[in-house]
Amino acid sequence: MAELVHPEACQLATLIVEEQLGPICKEICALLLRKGYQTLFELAKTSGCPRAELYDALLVLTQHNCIQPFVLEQEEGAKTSPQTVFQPDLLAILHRLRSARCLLHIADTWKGTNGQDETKIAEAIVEGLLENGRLTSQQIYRNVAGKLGCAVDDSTKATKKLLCQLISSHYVERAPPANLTLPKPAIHPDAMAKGRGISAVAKAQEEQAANLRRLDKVSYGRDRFRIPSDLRLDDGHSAAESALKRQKLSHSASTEALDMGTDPILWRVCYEEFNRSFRHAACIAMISQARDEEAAAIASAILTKTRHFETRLKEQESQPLSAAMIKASLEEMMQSGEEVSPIHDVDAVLREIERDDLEMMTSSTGGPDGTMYQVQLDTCINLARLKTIESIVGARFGLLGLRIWRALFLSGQLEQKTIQDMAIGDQKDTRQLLYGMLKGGFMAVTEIPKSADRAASRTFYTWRVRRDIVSERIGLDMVHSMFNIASRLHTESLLNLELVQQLESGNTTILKTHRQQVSHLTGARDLLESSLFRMDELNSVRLPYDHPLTPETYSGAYGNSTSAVEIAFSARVVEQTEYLLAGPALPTSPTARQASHKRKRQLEVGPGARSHRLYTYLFLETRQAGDQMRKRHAVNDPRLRAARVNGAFDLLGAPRYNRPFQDICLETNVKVEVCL
Amino acid sequence: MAARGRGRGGFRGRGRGGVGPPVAKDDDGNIVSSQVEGPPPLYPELEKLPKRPEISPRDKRLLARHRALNKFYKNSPYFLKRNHEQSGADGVLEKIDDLAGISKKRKEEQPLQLSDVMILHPKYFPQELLGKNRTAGSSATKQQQFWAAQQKDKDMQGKDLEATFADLAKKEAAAAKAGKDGTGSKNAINEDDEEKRANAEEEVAEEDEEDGYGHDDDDYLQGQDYQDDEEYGDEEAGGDEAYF
Repeated sequence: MAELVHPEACQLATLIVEEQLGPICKEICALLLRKGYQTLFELAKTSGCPRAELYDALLVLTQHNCIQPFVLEQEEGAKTSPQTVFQPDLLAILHRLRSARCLLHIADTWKGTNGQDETKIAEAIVEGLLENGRLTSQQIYRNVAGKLGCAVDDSTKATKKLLCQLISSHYVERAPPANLTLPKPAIHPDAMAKGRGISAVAKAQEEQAANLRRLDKVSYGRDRFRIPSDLRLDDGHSAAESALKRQKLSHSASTEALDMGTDPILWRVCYEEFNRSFRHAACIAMISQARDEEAAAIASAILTKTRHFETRLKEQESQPLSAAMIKASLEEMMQSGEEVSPIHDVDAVLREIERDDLEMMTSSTGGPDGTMYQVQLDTCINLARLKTIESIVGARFGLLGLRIWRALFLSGQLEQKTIQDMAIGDQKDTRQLLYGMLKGGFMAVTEIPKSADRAASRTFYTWRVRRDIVSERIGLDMVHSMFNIASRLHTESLLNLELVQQLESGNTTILKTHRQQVSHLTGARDLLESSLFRMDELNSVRLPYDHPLTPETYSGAYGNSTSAVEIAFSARVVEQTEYLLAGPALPTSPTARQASHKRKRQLEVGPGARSHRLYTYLFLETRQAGDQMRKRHAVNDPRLRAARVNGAFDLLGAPRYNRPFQDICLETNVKVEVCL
Repeated sequence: MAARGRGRGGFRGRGRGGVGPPVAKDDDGNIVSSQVEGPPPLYPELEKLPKRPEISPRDKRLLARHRALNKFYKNSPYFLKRNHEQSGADGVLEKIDDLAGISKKRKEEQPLQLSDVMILHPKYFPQELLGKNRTAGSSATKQQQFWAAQQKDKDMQGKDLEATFADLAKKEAAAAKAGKDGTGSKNAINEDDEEKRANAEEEVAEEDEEDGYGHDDDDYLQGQDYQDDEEYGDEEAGGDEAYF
């Protein structure tokens, strides 16, 4: 997302690295975040660190998954060996703030057959992986034995079993190798030459290179959660069964070679699965707030049962389940001891869900098992985000500001006088709030001139709320706030460095003269750190971090300036734009959605430099979705200066003319899909 | 030319006044005091403070885990310090021991290297980083010590700071009582010094609420009132000659 490459996000990441890995790692990390991927030679030249320190820092940062080594693509027949580059992983560094929340999630929700012991072992495994970055299975056994205070041999069997369960649940994954090719940044289609002498040979080479890149990624994607044979076989089965298993496994020769080879397998924590769990928890919390606890219990039953069918982090909806399966799932959850409120009449609750206006859970009839119910994850998350935005608007601009914002959000585009009447405010306050909200990025204003000279007295000014832009702006502000909190925490620690060191070393014999200072310091640190966790939790609802190396999110757009997350998010933005403009409920079934894609739709452009990038992504997304738009018009400026000059593009509705603008424009290479 | 002359004349005319340094004046003509006492504050006071958030039990659990992780990172071989920072007090002691020839003890307590805890394999790390010196092998005993040390750190986390302070306060009160009973014969100080000390204690006691500094039984301020120049002016000891 745009704010994830924002300077404050990079500075927050460097603060995190400095606190956890030291000043040398911080410098190298800051350099990589500022400049993008670098080779070892470039790093040695620009960092100014001695070689030994630089190598140590790169090893530690790779171990902790803050950077990832890639290999640069080479042309066929190149004589030099391929160069290694180091790319910083900003999302993974920001994930480190969530480590405590991940541990708490395992402690609270992991239910093994042996109860508390298995939960402790699972937490110990995840803690060890978070502490050390990457570990082999042998190191994990020793680590867990050390944490539990028992001998290695005693706890190995239980640890092995739980490690397999964690890998199957996707909480733990294999670390990627260092020889993956660097993903290419997305090139805007306008920048590519169209039909000017690109030979078939060049095209074939390009396709081959793309296939090779995908091959690495695909092979890593396939092996990511594959449990190796040495972990799998030793689980108490009889000798005959294990021999049969070995026979089956030996058919896949390549995988056997990988497992039985001398290369160790390093395991690491997979944040994607934790983010999915947090996303589900946020949906369930939203449902319980909007409806009641019983509906939330049913939602959690559906999500628990259908979790394994989710292929992407940002699923729009869960798989449908019939009423019988929901009841079975509820019983399973109660038996395994999860905190689920008992429901007396499941059918009555399900009937109420069918009549839900908010459409957080929907039902569809006509299936073989009767009525099927599913949770609309997207709708729930969007409602949660809307609530966050409204609470921020209400806190910053007061009740009148919130009324104005809501009126505009529901009505679309209005003039100031109409807003004033709807929100029941006077002219002066309304105008002040409107311009205050425009300055804060919560609103957009469009000018509709009556004459060519754009005189203010003869121009209509209409206000609108662009939810995607507001969402982006608030995300930016949240990351900025998190950086401010972390920075203040860092300053407080530096000002009281000796006391902090004494406290951390465990020496609590503090002089009486310093006790008040220590109490003040610990109180301040508690407040700042807990505020940081709360901000991160709020931000995670707004935007869960995505794993950049999964094949499904790897769409060739991974690079320095854009990210796969932005591309994935833009798909939702397109839907939301349609929702805002068209007014009717968002189509839920896949066929209806396809129909809406084919339907011509209008994308309206708001002010601001960020809209340039946002609309570039929107265009990329609609291109990738294979939209068949009959005409594409390129405009030179999102503020549509061309439109003003030519009077050919109407900001409000369909354009009055259908003439191409290609001869006028192309300063910014922004294309806008136009409704005809 | 005329302008130049006018300018010069104007300058000369102004030069006779003896005005002094330029003074800042606000719109009404009043002089604004421009004494700047130090740099502006990094975190100025806020007028509208938000409501202070309460720390819930869930927050405390999160904080405990977060601090345990941070503590591990800071004490692990992954936390890389610069060479000159690594010495510190230990470095000075090492140098003294080296000079004195006692170097065996310190060498046993050398910190863990990266190759002891990380699996440095060419599949996961580029070969150019690994070089020739870093081998995958490392001593098993050191690794065992590293993993076993995880357990010890867990014991330190459960301490509550407030409870610790309460214990320390109790111990200090008990020590103060024992001290008062036994110190009647110990003090062989002049009356002058006693008065001065009493005055100093009163001053310290008045400021106690503000500064939080200790009182009678705090040996931090014991030597505060010691007069080194008692014999100054005493004719037997040399009069009022300066002595160094």
